[in-house]
Amino acid sequence: MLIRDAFSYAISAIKRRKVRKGLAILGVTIGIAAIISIVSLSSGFQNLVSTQFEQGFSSDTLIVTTESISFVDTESDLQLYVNDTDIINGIENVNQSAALLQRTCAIHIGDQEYILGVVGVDFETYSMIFSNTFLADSGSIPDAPDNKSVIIGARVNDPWKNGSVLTSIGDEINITYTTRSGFEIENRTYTGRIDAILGEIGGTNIGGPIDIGLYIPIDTAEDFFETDEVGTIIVQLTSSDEEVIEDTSNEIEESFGNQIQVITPKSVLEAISSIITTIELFVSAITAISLIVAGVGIMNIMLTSLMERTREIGILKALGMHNRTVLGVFLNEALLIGLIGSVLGIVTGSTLALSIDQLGLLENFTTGTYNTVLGEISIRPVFEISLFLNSLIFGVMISVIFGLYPAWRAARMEPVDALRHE
Amino acid sequence: MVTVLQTENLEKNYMLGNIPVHALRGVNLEVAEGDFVAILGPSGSGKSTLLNLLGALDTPSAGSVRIGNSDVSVLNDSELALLRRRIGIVFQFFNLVSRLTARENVELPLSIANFPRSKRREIAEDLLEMVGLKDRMTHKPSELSGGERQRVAIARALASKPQFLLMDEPTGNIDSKTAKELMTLVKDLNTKHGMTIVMVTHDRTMAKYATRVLELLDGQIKKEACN
Ligand SMILES: Nc1ncnc2c1ncn2[C@@H]1O[C@H](COP(=O)(O)OP(=O)(O)OP(=O)(O)O)[C@@H](O)[C@H]1O
Ligand SMILES: [Mg+2]
Repeated sequence: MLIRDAFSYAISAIKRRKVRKGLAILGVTIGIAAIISIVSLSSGFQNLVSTQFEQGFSSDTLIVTTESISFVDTESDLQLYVNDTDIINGIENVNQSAALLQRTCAIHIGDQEYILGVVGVDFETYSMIFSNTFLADSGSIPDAPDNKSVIIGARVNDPWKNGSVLTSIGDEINITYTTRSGFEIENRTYTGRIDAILGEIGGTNIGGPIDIGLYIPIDTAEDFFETDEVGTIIVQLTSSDEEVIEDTSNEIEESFGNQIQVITPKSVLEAISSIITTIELFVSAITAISLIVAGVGIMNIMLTSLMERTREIGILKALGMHNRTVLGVFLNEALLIGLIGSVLGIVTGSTLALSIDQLGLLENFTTGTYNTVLGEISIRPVFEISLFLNSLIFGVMISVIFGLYPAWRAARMEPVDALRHE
Repeated sequence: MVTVLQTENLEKNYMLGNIPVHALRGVNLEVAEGDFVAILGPSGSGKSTLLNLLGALDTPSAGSVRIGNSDVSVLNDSELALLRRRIGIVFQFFNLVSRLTARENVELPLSIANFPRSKRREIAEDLLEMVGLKDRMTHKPSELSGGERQRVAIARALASKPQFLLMDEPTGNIDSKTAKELMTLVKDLNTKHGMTIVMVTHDRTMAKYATRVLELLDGQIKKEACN
């Protein structure tokens, strides 16, 4: 049988059992759609990590923190204090350091109220460490700030990204910190003055300024929050050499009795990529299972159609069809199911990934991390030709592999037995 | 005289559980080119069994079948497939592919034998015209009468220009008037086109069209008569 004829024969067989074959195709479609949407979003996430994180986190910067980035380790009780920058600055290869005293506060700006992380930091040092991002778009970062100075991120002033700004330089801003003394809940408020609005930063910035950040002088923060305990100290080294980073972070850890964490750019990326790898592994396992289920479905449907078409196989063989051609005819059917299913799956999966992006379903997820050091991130699905091709090959392969057994059984039938079949 | 078909002590046994059924008990038969042989026998006498063996669709329990000059028992699967392409066979129960049209059914053996599409079509249309189904080409088997289906089956059997034609009860499922027309057609094939035909039937009136009549009883040929 000519290949073209074998194909049109398979198509006519598929057309005849539309619902059943349709379900087999649907099985493949779902599996492939899952692969396409999940993989494209996860590569989008990876892209985000590699571009935005790396860009926002210069390689000569370290973060000293009492918090653990690991989920399993218990945090130490040892505290960091504002003045610990003196100890750190005394260590070799350290250029400068800035302590971040961060508390969650309610902010009144214009007629808008937010809950934000308010960060107390030394403006001068911070703007030297993050010289590309801690930059005023309007107003200016004061060299000698008074206790009313406030610097806000671009998004705080323009939360809907449409230019309808809430306030301008020199305006007042109310900051309310809720704490308790004894059994009393106490609301402390002070009124600051907006000295500078930062330019759009965009990416994620570990330890660095973010678009939804609010910055006040470290002294003001100490007075207002009535504490000199800090969670984080940003350290800039004189060199971004790997060995220097390694040695210095060890030395910092030792000087605090190994009770604190020093996060290096490398360790952050490693932690994130290990999370991504885990997610991908999990997702691959699920999609693999769903495709195997689809494969079993194909096998089941083909075995059923084999029973139905036993006589037909008998006729084909009586008319002189070779065993291998019978095998081919049945494999063709599986191949077509796989092909149609995969193509539909690619279309569906891409549409799904794009609509998740369009509907902003991931926005909640990414902006839910408002008070963390992450800032605002958005995940765009990434479609690569290789993803489409691999999915296509994978879908077709699964179908053909599971079609092999039914096809082999068809090929090996004896013509008389097949013809006698009721 | 050229022999196209020959059997020697052909036996076929089936096992029904532990009980052997002797469907054929030593059939000796020779068919020469141009013969129109009718094998007449009651139901269960082994007619279909014999015809399947002659069509190289089944393997004998004992004895041999020679088709042309090859012994069927020594052929492998692939050689058997090629041999079957040179045999035209009309089954007791039409056995058309239900989702294909009349023309596509006739084209099927040609498609299996790798004929190009246009050639296939031409042959199928000619044959359907010959059996009187010119205006039924695109009908599915379910849209055809029993007699018409049988004609399609005959057209299909003739499509690959077979060396001989095997017919199993060709008139078994149609009324006597239609059966008569069909037999006239078959007779013409033999007389006008010199087609060698082996037909099995339980109907004595149909056997009259043949030139040789063999009577099969309990798996054995009892006697031969010439018309
Ligand atoms: N696959 C089989 N297994 C067991 N017995 C069989 C099988 N095929 C045929 N037989 C038996 O062999 C005998 C001959 O069967 P066969 O089909 O050749 O009869 P037939 O002459 O064609 O009958 P009919 O005119 O009814 O078609 C019958 O007794 C039948 O029961
Ligand atoms: Mg029979």
